[in-house]
Amino acid sequence: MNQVKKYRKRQHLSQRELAKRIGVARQTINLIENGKYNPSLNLCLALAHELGTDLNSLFWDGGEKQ
Amino acid sequence: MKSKESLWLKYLRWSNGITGPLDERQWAELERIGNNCFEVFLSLEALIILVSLWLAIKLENYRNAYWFLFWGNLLALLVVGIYSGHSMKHAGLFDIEIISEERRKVMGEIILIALIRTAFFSIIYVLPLFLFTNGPLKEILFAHWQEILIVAVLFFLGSFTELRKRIKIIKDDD
Repeated sequence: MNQVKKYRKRQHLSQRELAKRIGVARQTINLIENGKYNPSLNLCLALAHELGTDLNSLFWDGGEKQ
Repeated sequence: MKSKESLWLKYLRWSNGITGPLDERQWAELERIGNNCFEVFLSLEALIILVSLWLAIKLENYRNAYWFLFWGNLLALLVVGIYSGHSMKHAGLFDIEIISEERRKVMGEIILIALIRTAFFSIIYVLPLFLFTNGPLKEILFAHWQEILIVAVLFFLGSFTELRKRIKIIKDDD
């Protein structure tokens, strides 16, 4: 599972606020956090940028098989 | 993530009754639903044409062939319409998510959208009256104003209710 929720909480952002900042629907953020949608690289970059982190920290599971 | 939306995409959104802009996931959903609709419609069309040809050529029953073609097409459109509407609803493409403080503002916006839709619908409703009735537009409108008004009011109420049902109030603290 990705770390989007953890980093979002760290930034004190709601799903709605984060969605608004990167220009997507709240449901999309919800699905990403729950691992039900694989975002495009552009969206991943926007998320990482907005959450003040990098792609590895957000999405890399450390090589564990899901 | 905000990309410039072309007129065609705006039209697609508008014709499907989707009010807000869509993101990449929602566009992908819409594309998937559209592709499925195309496949279903194509298969049904092939079947309808084959049966109509069989009725016409083999049985020489031209009247039934014509009616089968007509009603079959309508049915195919209905099936595709129901499927696309249901799928889009299931994918959340119609949802208007707001927080409770925005309710008043959004209600105003949906009244405006319903009014614009009603204006468009009224024009489409009046057009056949104008095309197939003799006389100037002013006289036609005067003769049918009650009927037009009732239809417009009913359409407005239906459109407003449909839009209102899409509103989902969410908590902002998630």
